[in-house]
Amino acid sequence: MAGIPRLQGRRLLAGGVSLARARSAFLLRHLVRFVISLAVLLVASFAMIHLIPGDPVRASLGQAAPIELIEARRAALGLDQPILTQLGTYVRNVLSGDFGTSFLSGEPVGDVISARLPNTLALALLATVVALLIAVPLGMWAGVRTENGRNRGTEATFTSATGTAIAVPEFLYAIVLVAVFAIGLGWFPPAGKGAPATYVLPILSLAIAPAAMIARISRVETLRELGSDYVRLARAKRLPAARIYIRHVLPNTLTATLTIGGLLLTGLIAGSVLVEYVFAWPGLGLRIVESITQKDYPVAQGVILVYGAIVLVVNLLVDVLLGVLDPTSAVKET
Amino acid sequence: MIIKNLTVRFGGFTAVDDVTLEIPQGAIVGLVGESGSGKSTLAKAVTGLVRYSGEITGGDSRRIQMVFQNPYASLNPRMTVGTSVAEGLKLPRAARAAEVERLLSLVSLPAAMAERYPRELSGGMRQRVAIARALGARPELLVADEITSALDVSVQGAVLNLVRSLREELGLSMLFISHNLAVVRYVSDFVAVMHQGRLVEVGPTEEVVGAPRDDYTRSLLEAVPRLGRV
Amino acid sequence: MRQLLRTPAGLAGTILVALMVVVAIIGPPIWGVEAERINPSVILQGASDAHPLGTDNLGRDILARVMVAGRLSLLLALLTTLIGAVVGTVLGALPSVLPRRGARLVTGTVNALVAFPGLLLAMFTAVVTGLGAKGAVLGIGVAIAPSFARLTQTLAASVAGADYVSAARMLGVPRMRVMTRHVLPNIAEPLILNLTQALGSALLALAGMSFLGLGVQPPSFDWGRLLFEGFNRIYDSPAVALGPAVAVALAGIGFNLLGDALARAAARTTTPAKTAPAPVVARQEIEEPDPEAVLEVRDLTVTFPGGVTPVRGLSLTVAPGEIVGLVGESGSGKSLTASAIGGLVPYPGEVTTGRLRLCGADLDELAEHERRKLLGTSLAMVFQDPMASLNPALRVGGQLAEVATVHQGASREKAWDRAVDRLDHVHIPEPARRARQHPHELSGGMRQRVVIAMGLMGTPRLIIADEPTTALDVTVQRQILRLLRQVTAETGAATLFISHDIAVVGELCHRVVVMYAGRVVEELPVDQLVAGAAHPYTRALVASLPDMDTDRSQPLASIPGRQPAPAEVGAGCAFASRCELATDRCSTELPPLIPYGKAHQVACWEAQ
Repeated sequence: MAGIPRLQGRRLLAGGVSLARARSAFLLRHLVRFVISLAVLLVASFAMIHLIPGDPVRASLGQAAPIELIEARRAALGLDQPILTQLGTYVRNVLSGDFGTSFLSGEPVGDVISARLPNTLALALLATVVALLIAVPLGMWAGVRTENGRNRGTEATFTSATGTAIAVPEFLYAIVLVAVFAIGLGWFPPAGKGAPATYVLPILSLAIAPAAMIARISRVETLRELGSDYVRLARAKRLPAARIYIRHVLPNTLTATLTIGGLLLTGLIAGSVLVEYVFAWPGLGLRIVESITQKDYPVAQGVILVYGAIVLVVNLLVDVLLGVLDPTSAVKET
Repeated sequence: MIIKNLTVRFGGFTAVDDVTLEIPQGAIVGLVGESGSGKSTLAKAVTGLVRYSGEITGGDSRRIQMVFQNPYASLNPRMTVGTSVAEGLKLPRAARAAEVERLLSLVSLPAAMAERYPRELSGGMRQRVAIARALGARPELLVADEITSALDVSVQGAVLNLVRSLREELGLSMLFISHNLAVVRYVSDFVAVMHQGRLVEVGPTEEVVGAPRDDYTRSLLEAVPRLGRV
Repeated sequence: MRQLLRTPAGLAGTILVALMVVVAIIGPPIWGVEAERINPSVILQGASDAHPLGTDNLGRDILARVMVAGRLSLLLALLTTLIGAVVGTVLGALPSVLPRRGARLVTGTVNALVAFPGLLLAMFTAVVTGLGAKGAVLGIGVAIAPSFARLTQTLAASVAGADYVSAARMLGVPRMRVMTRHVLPNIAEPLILNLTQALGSALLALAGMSFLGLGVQPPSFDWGRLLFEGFNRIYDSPAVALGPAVAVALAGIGFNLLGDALARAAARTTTPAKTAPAPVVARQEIEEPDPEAVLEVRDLTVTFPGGVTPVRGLSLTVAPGEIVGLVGESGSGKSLTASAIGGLVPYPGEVTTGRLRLCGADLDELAEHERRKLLGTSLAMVFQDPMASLNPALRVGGQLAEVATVHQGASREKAWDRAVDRLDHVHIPEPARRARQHPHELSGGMRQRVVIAMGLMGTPRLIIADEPTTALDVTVQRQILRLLRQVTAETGAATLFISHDIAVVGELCHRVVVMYAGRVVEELPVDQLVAGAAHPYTRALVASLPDMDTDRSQPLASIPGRQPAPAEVGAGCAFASRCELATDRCSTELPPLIPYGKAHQVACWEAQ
């Protein structure tokens, strides 16, 4: 049915030259935004120590600590300097890779980060890849099966299964997986990092909920594209179904799927803290929990800063990737 | 009412470029143009919905009302027809019901319609309600922006007849905007043609349609589909 | 509410959330004493009959502690959500009050924070405030706020841009009243829905913090804290950890399923149509097939579940070189007829035909691959919206070329060359350059030309154009109509042109078929349209259309009432209730489509 005759309301985009200009303006804008956010993050992590009520050194060392030790610690941290001088020193140090020294172990925080960051990143990236590989085909399949409300059974199963899977947080998956596959069945090691088998349970526990989320998005996007006129036209041309789904529908669903995928990756990095804790995975997450409970402020400060920076970098990459994949998004945004 | 040197800019883009247009008391001025010509932006500027430079003289610019294109978006889905129509009335509560009934009868709708919700109404009826709501403010100028383009032909005739009768009975001045030259010709006393933000021709309907002076007007007239032209 | 309980997921969510609330209310009074009772003789026990989930390091019963911990877990989650919702809604509403610069700053900050994981913010506050519930609640609450802010912003922006809000502003309705009467009621529902789901995620995030030992501290305990204590013993007695884990999981699942179901119930505004028996369509005797016809349709019916029949027993023949206009108002079934001929009726629509022949071949008798090839190369379709008809992700040339590679086995280069040639044929300047472009780089009129060129990749015998110019400006419409006429003449193909605009049909077509409520009411040569139409509906349609010669001193004709919806069509003539000439017979007996002069057929008892 034709419905209401539509009036053409959209204005034509100008030709190639301004498109290229729009694209570089788009990149510049995102870079500027990234640098500003990074600066705000730096100030926030600096301020963190100063927001602690009372004296952070005394809070860390305890009331019984000798006054000489506290004074020495304060001087080492530069806490006796004016605040702006402290900020300047802090920024300079961070930019040259000096994140301070741990209260507890005395090792440089920079060393802690460089030793542990790769383990955390490996976990988060592998989990993202696994989640995307499972979820995108699953979501597309579900979309194709449930087009125009056919196969209501599949739809109900899919939505409640993914709804349930999304609602369970990664640390519960981790605990249950450990209880069943490590302790109960003994198939995988319960903790630690080493052989490839040690990766399986941590990655699974991190990937399940995001995979369910991405599968949902992918299905909705697939349904929307299937209802569009260009798919109708492709069907009128009698193109093979597989060609319609893979060549026509898939690229158009990826934009939204990757946006969510990128957001999930940042969530995944946070989730990895809990999963590392369950599996005693030697990443940053395990260390930050220790440092907060034991009031080892330099480590907490450094690790939070790194986590924040990773989130910002991931967001930047997702935005830029989208701009490249979907040439109109760069222009639309203006 | 006179629109003088009205210009609307969005960033570096000039949507309406120095338009001057007089709408005589009690007359319908038809405004035609294609998509992107700036006619809808002009309507929004005249009703104060977008910022513009220039001035509107010869009347109270606050007493300009507008009826929109999409009858399915112009009424609040959570308000009854009566509440919607009564909303702009500057009347004591007791007098409102009677005024709503009068306004609805002006647009040939029964008083019982006041109790209904927009979802129960057809597109043509919704457009009548939107007109009634605008009339409640006793406008000095009514701006009608593509009010029939979402309606079927068999319903469009009735709305166009209503527009004409409102002018005859209430002496309403109107700016009637449409992409359809045949519709504009039928209801308007004067026709103004817009192209790329500029007014390219203005004049009495018979003159503009019968002896167009501007090339663009001519191409527009030429493109109007005609029954039986083979 | 009933809607909510109808689906298993909604039912499960409601039950789980209700269960959580009950546990939170009755938990502490019933199990409170036992949860705190220290018993040195049963320290660190595994699951047993007396203690189904075991005991902790002071010999307290863990099941009792789980039941008691529900209240604190839920209350903290509620508090966190409230902080997030209040801060978020205020932040979200700010941009509409602030001056432009301030608004942009707030929006930018919100956008930057939305992507920031809650746990990180919570750890930040945990460092500042020290370990405990306060830091966790504040941190997670603040972390939830940006998503609320964003939702409020998008919702408010979409409602504030609505025509009815503009209308209210023009009427001088005060700002406050616009906010309370127009904006808030229309955004409240999704906001409240979001609250349910936010409550679930707050509960999970708090449990996570406590599980890490950063949240609730002893002697208080929530589910996360119990999990923290039990996790260290998971190797000896898994039940100790699994008990609280299940409680957290059930709460999370409950809130999520309930939120989902609420959202679904809110989205479902229309109730499903009542089922009525499908009408029995009288089958007409079908004459011998016409070997000359490009398209021959007999007795085409499209039904949807519930007895909705938008197309009823339609018959149509189109000869080579002929342009036939199929005209009718929205809901007359004209577009669905086009879809049915192209085999594109969406599920769950069902198509039955007495006969459907294309280029002399009966489509029902062809093997699947033959039918695909015939339809893929001989039938060209053009739709209403050229913006939507081309795949935005693919180059224009590639979309054309694939017809040749798929159906004609052409090589990539050959197919591309043909695509460029076809673009040239529909008068697209610089076809080689245009072929390499994406659809968004082309104007609306040019895109519609591309779609037509796509149909010319094969050897079209029939072009079905469904409102191809409705979305275009009149001057562009003129060019597209000219192109369609040229293409029809050159290829000798037939064109079925579907439109609501009787003037366009009258200008382009040789023959006009008028549809009303799913049936053909009249079929006539175009020169008869103005003066020779016999059906009252056709005549009213022509009379109600203002054209450049309409007498401006006379009111326009208009037809009272409205076209019946597909489910409402009765036994007689569907137009009877709006017809001046209607008699009793019209509303009870269906008039057949019978010849009325040369090449002219009409379905009316009263046609004169």
